[in-house]
Amino acid sequence: MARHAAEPAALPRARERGRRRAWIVAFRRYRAPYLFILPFFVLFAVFFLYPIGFSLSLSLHEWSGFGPARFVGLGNYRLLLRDELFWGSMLNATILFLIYVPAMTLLALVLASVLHSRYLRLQGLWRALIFLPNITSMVAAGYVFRLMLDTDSGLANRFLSFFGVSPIPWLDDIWWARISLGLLLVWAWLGWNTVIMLAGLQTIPPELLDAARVDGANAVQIFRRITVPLLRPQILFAVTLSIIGTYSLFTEPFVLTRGGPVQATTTPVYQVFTSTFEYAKVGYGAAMSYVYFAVIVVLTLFQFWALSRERPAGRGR
Amino acid sequence: MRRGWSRGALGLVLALVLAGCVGGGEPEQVSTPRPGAETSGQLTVWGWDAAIKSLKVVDAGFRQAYPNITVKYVAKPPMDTYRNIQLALSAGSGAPDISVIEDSHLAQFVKLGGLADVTDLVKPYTDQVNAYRWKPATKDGRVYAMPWDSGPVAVFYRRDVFAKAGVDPASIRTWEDYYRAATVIKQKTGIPMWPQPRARNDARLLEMLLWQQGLGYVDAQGNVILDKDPRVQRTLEFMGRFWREDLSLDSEWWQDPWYKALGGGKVATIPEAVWMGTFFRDFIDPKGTGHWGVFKLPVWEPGGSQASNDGGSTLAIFEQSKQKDAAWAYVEYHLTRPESQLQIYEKTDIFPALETTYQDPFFQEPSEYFGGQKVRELFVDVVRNIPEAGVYTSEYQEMNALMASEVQSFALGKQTAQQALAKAAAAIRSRTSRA
Amino acid sequence: MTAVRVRRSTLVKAASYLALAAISALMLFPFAWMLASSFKPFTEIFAGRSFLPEQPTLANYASLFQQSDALRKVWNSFYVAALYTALAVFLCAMGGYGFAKFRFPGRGVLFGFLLATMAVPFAVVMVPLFIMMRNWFHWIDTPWPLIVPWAANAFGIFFMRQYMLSIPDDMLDAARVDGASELRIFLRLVLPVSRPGLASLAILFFVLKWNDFLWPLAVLRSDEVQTVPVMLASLQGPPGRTAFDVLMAGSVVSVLPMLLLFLLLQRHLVVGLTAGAVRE
Repeated sequence: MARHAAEPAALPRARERGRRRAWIVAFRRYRAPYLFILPFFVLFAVFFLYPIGFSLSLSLHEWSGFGPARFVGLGNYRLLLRDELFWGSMLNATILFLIYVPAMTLLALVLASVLHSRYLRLQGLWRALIFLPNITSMVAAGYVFRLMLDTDSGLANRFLSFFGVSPIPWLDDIWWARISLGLLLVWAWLGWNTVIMLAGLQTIPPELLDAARVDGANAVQIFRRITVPLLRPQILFAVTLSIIGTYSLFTEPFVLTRGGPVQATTTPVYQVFTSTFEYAKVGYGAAMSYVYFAVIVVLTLFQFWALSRERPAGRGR
Repeated sequence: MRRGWSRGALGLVLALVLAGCVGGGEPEQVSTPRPGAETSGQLTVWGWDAAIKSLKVVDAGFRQAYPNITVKYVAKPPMDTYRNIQLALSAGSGAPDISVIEDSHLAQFVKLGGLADVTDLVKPYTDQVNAYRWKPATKDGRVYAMPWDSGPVAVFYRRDVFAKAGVDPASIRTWEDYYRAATVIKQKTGIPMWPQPRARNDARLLEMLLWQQGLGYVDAQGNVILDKDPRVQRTLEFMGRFWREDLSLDSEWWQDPWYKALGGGKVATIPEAVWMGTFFRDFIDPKGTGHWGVFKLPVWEPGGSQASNDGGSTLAIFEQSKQKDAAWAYVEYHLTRPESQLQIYEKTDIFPALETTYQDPFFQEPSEYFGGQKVRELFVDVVRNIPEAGVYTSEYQEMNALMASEVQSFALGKQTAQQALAKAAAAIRSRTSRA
Repeated sequence: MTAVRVRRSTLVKAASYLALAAISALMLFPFAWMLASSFKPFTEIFAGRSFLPEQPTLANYASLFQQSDALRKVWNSFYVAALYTALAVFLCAMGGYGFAKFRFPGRGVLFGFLLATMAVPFAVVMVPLFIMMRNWFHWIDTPWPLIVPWAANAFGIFFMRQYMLSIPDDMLDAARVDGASELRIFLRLVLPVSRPGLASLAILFFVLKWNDFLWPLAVLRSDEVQTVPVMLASLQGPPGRTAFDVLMAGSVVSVLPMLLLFLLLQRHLVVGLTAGAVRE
């Protein structure tokens, strides 16, 4: 306070220079980190931010990708509202998610628990084997599964026939096709999910589990009452990735079922792809992708909210 | 573009005058723009394996006629070829000089633009080619492709199965007869009549049956008729009978189990286009000489048409091509000369759309593979009577996908034919902005 | 009582090993079948009579390498994946380091923004990105569309940041006091110290790029530049017939390099994942 009173009248200019100097000083001082993180922001701006805006603009036009584009305002969106195929693909993604994600997450939890056991030998080997499918190209895996699940000559049905089970129309029935897709996805992603759970398990202090065991709790009880609640962040993380992944599916339905039968396994991204590259309806494809974008954003926001809400700090007993 | 053509035309006149007619066989041609022998270029031709193989049949002669033209073929499955064409057209570059394009996809590209206008060049052949072929290639009176092969449809049947069931193919005159024969054959031999999968149906048989009646997705004005014309529903319901009563082989087309069933006589008939016969001979049942015979499509009503179409392809030249002379030389040599088309037909069984070839005695010969039956003659008869129908529209791919999905649902018993057609019609109308 | 407990725990142990073995077998089975089928002629694949080929043949591989020029496609895949991995690991390490070891104005906001960008699904930008690649950059049929947009990506930066948080600050400060430039510190100190994390990220990126399908399908049109997954999807056989025999051989070719890479380096990958994955 006293300082201010003592300052001369020529202060404004000095302050101005000071502020500018502060910026320069700051920039020079923080030059390194800003430059380090710059590539991300530049690339993102050019290859993602701009396209997002461009996509919005495209969605307001009717365009074949060739020649002049015709402005249609919200026309594409109005059509989209009535597009049963597109909403069907959204529903498919939801159904698919419900079919395989809970089962896969639970299995991942169990597997991670088993892998985490102190007495387990060859942990590295088991981990590697379970994770192996994740490194496969989904195109290759898709074709292999298609062969194995063939109704007439596939291995699955031949195997089942040994037990007297009549052939299952794995890829020829609406629900079985969805289940087959789910099987492929579980096979591919179980390892990934298991590793995530394993990482979480390694953060649980072992004393907690020991104490519970001393108290007489058996493995199942420990699993249910301690492990699962403590792993909630990991579970939420894995499930959200699964949600986003399921809605973004393309390769697996493209190779395994071609979106069928009766379009029961088509996904939003598949629809965007066909609309753009096969029907040459670029504007419509852009509108579709925007709606799908909105859905994903909502789901992700939900995840952030849910994650930030639950923070169990070693809520043991 | 036009400048190139006139140069070529001049060249040909000179060449004709100097060299006389090239490739003896039809000296009575009207002065067709036929590029001179000195025409040069390095052509890129896109297509799929089978098509390219057929084109290559006459390449030796082509090289002789045009020693300065070299050809590079790029073979890709049809869907990839079409996607690449679309990309090239919309990118404004990267298109080949020529591509094989099926009728089913031609209209879409003609509408999109980017194919070279060949109206004047193909004018002499307008009457020589099956009449119905020009429609998908034409827009606003201008023509953008040259038809190559056609897909006249008939019923291929297994002689042994029919014999075992005691059914005489000649007795099948209407579709009701066909249905009755199906039940008899099923009873006596346990074999299904035709291969129509439920969950993997591609709607192509439906399209064939509709085409036979001059029907399709749209009428001549382009309005959707699936739910308007009662004959469409009747056709779909007719197909439904085969699923309900297990008279249909539930196997996905073009997959190995389907090939095996056809080759092993596990299905009694298959209504398909002439090129199916080629496939039988080449790889489905190569040792099956005499196994199969052919009869014309049964009629829906007495006096009705016995002709339909499935498939058919063309060669199109691209606007982007900088060697349109050479490109037209290629197309002209391969497709417009009866002897070329005949050679292709003889070697690879691709049925020419060029009607002047039909005069050749080859068409009168009995076919050994089909038990000595004169099938070529039969197909010529069929192809001359194929009606115009609104199947291969400029949005065929989308319409077919939407239709197939509803047919699958109907086949699986999840909806009635009326519902299926109503839904398909509604979806098609909204997605293709038609009435 | 001890005997009962011992018995129960041996039971549990046995059950665990059994479960693991069963799951591992299920995970491995498709690979084994893929390998076996790749040596079967076409007719045998659908005959499904026996697991092992009755008439083993190398014809599928011959067709793959002669007609489909698979070697070139493998090279393309490798080239793209390697180039991408090198660039992306470097840029992500840089970004991760920037966020981990520096305090600067706006850091929180910028990092939050970075996290938020992970919610942007590819499908939204696919179409305009494609048009940009085609019309502006003329990058169709080149490897750049596959490499550049993701060269510095949010996940990689997030991952490296997690990893680098544990780098001791005093080490860095000491170097600064010695007069080393930030770049030098990054290159000479930070990178070497982060090797395990870099290795895991590299493996992750390489595998992801190798198996990438949708985007390469869109931007790689001509035969010469295709990568292996795109090649698999467009293998031809007789009309309309999916060439499953060559496809199985192709699948083996696509999976084998990744398998080898993985088996050699899997410890790094899982360790790195576990370390960097979820440390909330």
